[in-house]
Amino acid sequence: MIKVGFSVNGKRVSVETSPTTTLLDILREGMGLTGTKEGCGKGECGACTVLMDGAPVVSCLVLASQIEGRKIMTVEGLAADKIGKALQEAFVEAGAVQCGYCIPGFLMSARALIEENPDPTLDQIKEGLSGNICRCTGYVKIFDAVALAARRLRG
Amino acid sequence: MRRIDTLSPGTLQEALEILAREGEGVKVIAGGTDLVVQVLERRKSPRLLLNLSRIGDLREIGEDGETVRIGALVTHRQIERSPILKRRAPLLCEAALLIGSPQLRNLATIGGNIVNASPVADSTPPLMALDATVSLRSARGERKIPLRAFFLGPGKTVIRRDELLAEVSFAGLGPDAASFYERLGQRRLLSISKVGVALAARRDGAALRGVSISLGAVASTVIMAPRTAAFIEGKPLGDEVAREAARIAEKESRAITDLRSTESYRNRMAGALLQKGLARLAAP
Repeated sequence: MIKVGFSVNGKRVSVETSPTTTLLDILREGMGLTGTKEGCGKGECGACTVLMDGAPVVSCLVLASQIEGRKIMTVEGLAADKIGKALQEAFVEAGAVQCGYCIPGFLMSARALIEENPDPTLDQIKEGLSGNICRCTGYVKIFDAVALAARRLRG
Repeated sequence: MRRIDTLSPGTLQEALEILAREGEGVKVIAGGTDLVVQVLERRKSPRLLLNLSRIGDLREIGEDGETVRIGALVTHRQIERSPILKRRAPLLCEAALLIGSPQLRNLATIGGNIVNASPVADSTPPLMALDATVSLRSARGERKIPLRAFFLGPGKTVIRRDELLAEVSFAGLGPDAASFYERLGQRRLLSISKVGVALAARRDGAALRGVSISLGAVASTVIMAPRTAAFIEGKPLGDEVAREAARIAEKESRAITDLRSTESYRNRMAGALLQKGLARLAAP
């Protein structure tokens, strides 16, 4: 077992775990943060996306030994975040959610995109969300929601 | 994932000492995007992981006169955005943008992509076209090996058990350069390459000089296409030259049939991608 110290949604935590436990399992099983979803479990679908030091990563491929000192942000942290809150509201308004399973991952990718590029074009939104798969095929409304949130945040 | 003992050194020197000491069954983990999946699917079962994520160096892209250096722990996201590489190796930036997804590119490292030695790796054809050199470090010292002599087969390289790939370097392209990376996959992202074609050269009026072409996913390693390059050398670019170059490339391509594509389709597409890239270079 190893002890790893990192932060989740602004709170410092220390976890004792196997070095090869995935970040996804630490969040869901160890900390009860079940907003982050497991889809394919091998890095291809984006359902498990979280931000690590601000950059979107697939938490199913990140191991406990790799998160020492890192800042993790999950979907549970969005309500207290300006961009995150705007995205949540825009997703509801645009009707961007169908079954909802992929949405936490989409929100995290969108959060990283808008922080880096407050005025994204449609192509840039598509590129920013290209690592997230929605099997209800609701992409158009998701793109609309991200554009709406970005527009509101620019004021 | 099943429990595997892991060592997480803070410096490259400590990592090299661990490799020298530990012997069989050690796997190095950098971004982990290949290795974690291989372990999950039981294709690899290491006894010990050597985790490089706490090493502070090997994370920079630098320019030193003509030479461009990329540390082994540089991510594909850094590559796709690097102002140095956009200027000195734009074909490598093009390739990086086709790898995995943003979430994978934030993790996956250039060193991992090279050492994994997949014939379908997208960063390798550009680096081979640029005639890159890899620096292999061990507790005993350093070896420099041309990337073109580094790969022995799928998953097999000349790297020794006590060595780590520390850096990849090459002479950067100049302002008169022409280059591209063209690739075909099932879809643009999150797909494994069926065929990839990289070209690096310099412009001489309407012609190309110093032409170097590599082909990915059409042999057991990424290969060079010297006969195709020699044909293009010095000829003014145009439809006729591109068509004939494509025919030669099809013959130099040595594809196999597997679950992703067939031999004949891959060989034909190696030519077609070359033709497409040459058309892009000929366009005003």
